[in-house]
Amino acid sequence: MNKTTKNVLWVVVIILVVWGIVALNNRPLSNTANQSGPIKVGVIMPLTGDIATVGQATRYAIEIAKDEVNAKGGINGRPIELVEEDAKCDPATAASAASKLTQIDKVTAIVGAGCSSETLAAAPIVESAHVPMISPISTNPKVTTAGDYIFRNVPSDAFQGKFAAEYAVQKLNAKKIAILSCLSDWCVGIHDVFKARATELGATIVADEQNKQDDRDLRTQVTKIKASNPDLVYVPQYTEALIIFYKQAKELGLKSLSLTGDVGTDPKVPAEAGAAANGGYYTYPKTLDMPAAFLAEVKKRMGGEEVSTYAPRGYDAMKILAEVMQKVGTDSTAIKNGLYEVKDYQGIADTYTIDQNGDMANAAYTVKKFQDGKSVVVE
Amino acid sequence: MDVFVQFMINAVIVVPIVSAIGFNVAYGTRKFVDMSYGASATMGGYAMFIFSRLLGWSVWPSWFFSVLSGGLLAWFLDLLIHRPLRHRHAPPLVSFISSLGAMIGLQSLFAIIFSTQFWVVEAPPGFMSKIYQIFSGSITGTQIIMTVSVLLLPLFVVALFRWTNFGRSLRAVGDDPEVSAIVGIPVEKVIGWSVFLSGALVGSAGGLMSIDTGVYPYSGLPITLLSASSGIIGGLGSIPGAILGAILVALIGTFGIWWFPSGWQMAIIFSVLLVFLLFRPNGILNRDK
Repeated sequence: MNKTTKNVLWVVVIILVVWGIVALNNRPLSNTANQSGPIKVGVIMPLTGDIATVGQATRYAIEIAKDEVNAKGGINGRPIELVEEDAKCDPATAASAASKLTQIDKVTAIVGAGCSSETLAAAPIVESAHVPMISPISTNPKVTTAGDYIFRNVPSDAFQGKFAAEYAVQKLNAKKIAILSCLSDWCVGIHDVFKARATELGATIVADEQNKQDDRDLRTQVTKIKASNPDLVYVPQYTEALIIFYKQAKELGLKSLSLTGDVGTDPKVPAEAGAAANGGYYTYPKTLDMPAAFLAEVKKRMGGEEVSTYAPRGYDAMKILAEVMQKVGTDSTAIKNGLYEVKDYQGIADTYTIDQNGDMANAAYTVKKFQDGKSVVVE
Repeated sequence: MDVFVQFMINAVIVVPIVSAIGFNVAYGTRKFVDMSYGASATMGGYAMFIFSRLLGWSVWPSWFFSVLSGGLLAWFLDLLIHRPLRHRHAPPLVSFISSLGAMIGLQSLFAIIFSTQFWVVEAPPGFMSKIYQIFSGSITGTQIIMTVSVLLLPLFVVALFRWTNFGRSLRAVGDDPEVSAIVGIPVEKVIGWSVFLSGALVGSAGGLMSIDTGVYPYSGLPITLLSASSGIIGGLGSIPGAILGAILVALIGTFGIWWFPSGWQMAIIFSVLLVFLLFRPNGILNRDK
């Protein structure tokens, strides 16, 4: 037996031993794996990268909700423990985060994800692991059918895109509409709904431009849009590209109205774009005013930064989950069934009723407008 | 045609001419595709961010630090990684892979230090933040400065290569490092300076870019790719080639999406690169036959 053969054999032996240990440790996929000790709940949010400001605020809101539940004695005496994962608004990272949470941490449920592309990538994994997941942010219409275990406490863009198109055509009297959409699940989803509804209402789509989610130079697209001379530009973009859009639209002298979606709630947009964003409209799911104590607490944890209006939905998602677990225990199928029963739950952001698809049954929207680094309510 | 003027302005602004020249300066002496090249642009961008936005300095001294830090980073990487490889006569592929490793490491390092947030440096009030009209197109002061530097820097580098001793030794080292050493040219020193020059050039572009579009840890890689593409299309190692290649890439990138949806911009550029690799692998102006 020469040295190489020996080495190869050793490697094989080591692999077998490691595999054996892993196999022994790997308990069968069971819903009742942990019955005592803390209840693990996973969190998947964009903590860095695009819309990180929203992800961070939401994560702290979830932590606050958890702390409140634990302070009141947890779930039937068991405290909740959060396992937080950063998905960077990137589908691949979200998928590995979901695998880690379900396979290694064996969480009971997940609050998340943030970006629609994260949720859609994580959905098949949590679905096959039978772990209920509730997203406070993802609004892409496809999330509706992403799986039996996938829920959200934010309305689908099937409504927001429609509402935005109606607002643009009927209230802002836009006849010629240009669209600049990023090539990411959220943008594409709302783009499709908006375009279909706007065309239905008799508006002409004079330009339909795309860019990658992380593009930072939109001049060519904006130039093309300007040449099409639209009454209004619809810009479903994430925070960073949206800021760039406002700046470059101003530089290139694009004078038409602009309308974007719920990304406008990210306080970073008006703060960074400043006066360039003046007059830019955005729509977002109608949200109650944040309770002062909650706002102060999130702000404190974020080191004084402004808080996105999405944060309270994160808080509500955690609270809804806790309430369901309080009622049905920690069996994941029972939690799933319990989530479908949620009806007229009064949260701090909204009143929630979950429909048979795991979506919110009700949807109402607010329109705001940027003015000198602030947002003002229009409707 | 109003859009034409605006497109020309856009093209000149995004023209990675400066970066393509810098790329070819370093390629000329080191003869490998340096993937960590764009990191100097990110460095320059963050230098602008630190001095101008965090410390509140005015733009010009901050820009000086962009240039300096970009150059120093490139020089330091060369000292740390590529000089030992050269001494071991490592093939270009090894240098290429290690520079890719360095790039990935640096991106993570930038992300740890500055977070992956995207930052735009506010253009100072006055000339740079004003918007001017040229025929039917508009241009900001920052972009005018970028355009002017794009026109001046190539002249400066070409003059340096043509008429100075340093330029002559650069070309000599590029042609044959061993013979250059025999005739008494300090080869390592010349390579060091060429790398510093290349980093400084792209650092200056990075500094201005952080005002124009913004900076984040991963903004360097597209610059590397575009500069390398321009370099290959124009002819690796050749300065006029870099200028031609960069202009071609910028025009293709900007005008290509006149006909195609704008999401295809990079795809169009890389298809042209592919055509060149197939039919004219040495580029428009090739120095090494």
